[in-house]
Amino acid sequence: MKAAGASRWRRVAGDQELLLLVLLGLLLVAVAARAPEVLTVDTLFNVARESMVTLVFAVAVLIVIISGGIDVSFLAVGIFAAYSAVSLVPQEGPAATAWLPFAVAVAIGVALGLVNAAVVLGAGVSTLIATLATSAVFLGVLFAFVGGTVVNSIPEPLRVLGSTSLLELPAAGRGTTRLSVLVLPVLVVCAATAAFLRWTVAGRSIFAMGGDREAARRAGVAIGPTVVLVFALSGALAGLAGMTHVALSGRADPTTFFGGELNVLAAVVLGGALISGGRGSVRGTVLGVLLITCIRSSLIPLGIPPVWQEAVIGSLLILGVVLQALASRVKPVRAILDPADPVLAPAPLRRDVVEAGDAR
Amino acid sequence: MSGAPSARSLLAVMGSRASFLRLLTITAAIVVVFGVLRPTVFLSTSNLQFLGLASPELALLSLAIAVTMLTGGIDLSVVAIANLSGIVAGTVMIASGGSAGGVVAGSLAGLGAAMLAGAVNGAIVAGLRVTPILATLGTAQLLGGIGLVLTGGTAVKGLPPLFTDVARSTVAGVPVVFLLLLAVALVLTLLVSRTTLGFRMRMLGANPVAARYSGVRSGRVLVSTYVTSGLLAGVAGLVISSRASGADADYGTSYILLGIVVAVLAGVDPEGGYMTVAGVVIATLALLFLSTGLLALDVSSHVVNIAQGALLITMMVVNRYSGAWSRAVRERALVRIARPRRA
Repeated sequence: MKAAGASRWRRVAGDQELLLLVLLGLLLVAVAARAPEVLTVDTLFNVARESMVTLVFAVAVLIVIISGGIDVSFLAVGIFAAYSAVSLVPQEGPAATAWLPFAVAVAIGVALGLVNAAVVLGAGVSTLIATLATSAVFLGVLFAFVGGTVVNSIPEPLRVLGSTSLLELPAAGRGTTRLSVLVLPVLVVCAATAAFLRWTVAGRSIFAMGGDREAARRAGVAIGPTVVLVFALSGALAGLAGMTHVALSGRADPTTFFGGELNVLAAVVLGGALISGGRGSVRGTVLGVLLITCIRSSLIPLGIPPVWQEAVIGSLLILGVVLQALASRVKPVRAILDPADPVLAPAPLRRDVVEAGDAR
Repeated sequence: MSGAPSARSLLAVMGSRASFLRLLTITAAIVVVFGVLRPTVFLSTSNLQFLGLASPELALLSLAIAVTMLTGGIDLSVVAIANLSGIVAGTVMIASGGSAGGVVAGSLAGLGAAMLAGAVNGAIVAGLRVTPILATLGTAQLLGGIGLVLTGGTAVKGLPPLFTDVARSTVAGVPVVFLLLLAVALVLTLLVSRTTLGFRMRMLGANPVAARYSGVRSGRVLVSTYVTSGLLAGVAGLVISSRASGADADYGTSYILLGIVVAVLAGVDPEGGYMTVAGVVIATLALLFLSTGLLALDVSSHVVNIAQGALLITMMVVNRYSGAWSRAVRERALVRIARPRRA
């Protein structure tokens, strides 16, 4: 069973999440060896703070990627929704009304997502190109009609929420370090998305559609409504991410996310999502985002000059996609011809494909 | 084939698809509308010269993307390759003290680096069978990072005047870089339509399985495709650094997405199998006509964004439904012929 062993080995090597965990561990060991003074709760909170917004955006992208598309409009949707919400809701009010701007941003996000879905379904082109066009339109409308200046005074309830801490601990040096309470909704959203993708018929339909559109259609998945659902969800998450960013930074700058689309996509892909659809998990995405944030924040303690940052992340990304490609290449062919061969028929159903995502 | 029906074969080379005719119509409409609305600004020599100077870099980058789309792939690393080419060229030129030989050596070094980067893309795509969009997403980050390391995070400044004068000089009022674009476009047209490599690229894009069964070695073709794409991006990088008198690892990241827009607007099929060099050049001009025309009307530059996005969506919708409409009309006519009304 040499072949089976080799294939198992390669599948292990191609297990993106394992790879990410190993890389995270190596990074931690390296930092611990070179600069142990950095390993404080302070750094941990920093990593959490910097990952939060990217993570929600990444989950939004993940849903679209699982469905077999590529979305590049999520940052435009996010900042459009957040900026409009900030200018729509009343400036004053008790802190308890902080949910209002979030609700407005999510609603605007859903609306823009529906526009995306309409273009994707109406023009019948790849989602990459459709969302390229819509993101140009969204940003144009934002700047031309909503406003293009930085809003430095965000609504009072939002400001209070953004500066509320979940945890406040004494920092390593002086003062205190804090973890924003906004980390809670981020975690809830991640868990809810994972549960939705894994346990609901609609969630499974998204995987099915991404795996093979035609097969999914014949199996009774309504393609049109599923596409609408995917983009509405992705828009809602993008709106939430944009609002979280605004609440955390205390200002609404329409140019904040310019040009960051590919970085988020990279984190999702690094997290093991298959770019052609049908496979991906929230867990992997969380690891991908965490890894990139950790690399960014540990390069300086490790003594690596900041100019190397992009090159290091690029190399890691290439490593990730190459391993992914190698792993998918050795996937056993469905046992149609020779069911007796144990290598060809490892299981009645290929669990790694059928129960893609968190179910692995 | 070559010779007698030259007009027809030229049209075939340019892409006689209906989408190409629609592109021409829309471009002409843009020119006429803005020419009538703002003749003094839109049709001024300075506007046309600006177009001649600004269009080559975008057109070259779009061509670099379009070539990979022809084989059913995509290249997201073109801007990173262009910047790297400019940085390498600039560094060599400055090191050699700005002599004529140094400028030539620097340009060649820049193009060489760009082709090498393209070969890396090709190796990852063909050799390791990584999806092109992922492979080039990774190399874009890596090459951008290498550019940052080479420059130390600052722009390469002080390029020799011999090199920066190229972008400023004109021949009969036409900027030299625009003539360069036309020359590159001509060579690329011949490569795609008249050479064996071009034929294999089209086959591979149209149907990879059929191409493989026909004995096309897809690996070699893909590597050649990505090297070609890298070379085109490298030329764009030289044009950019000559025009901007400098090279920077962060220049023009928005060009990646804009380049895809231009390619699709031109009617290049992102699924592979069809591209039109002339269409890409015309689509670049159409986008720039639209933006300078709108700016001449004193609208905000953000409306230009909306208009470009709307143009793309419109073209996609029209391209999708016009075929279906004309087919439906034809079928209805056939039905009428087949079942004549009884008297």
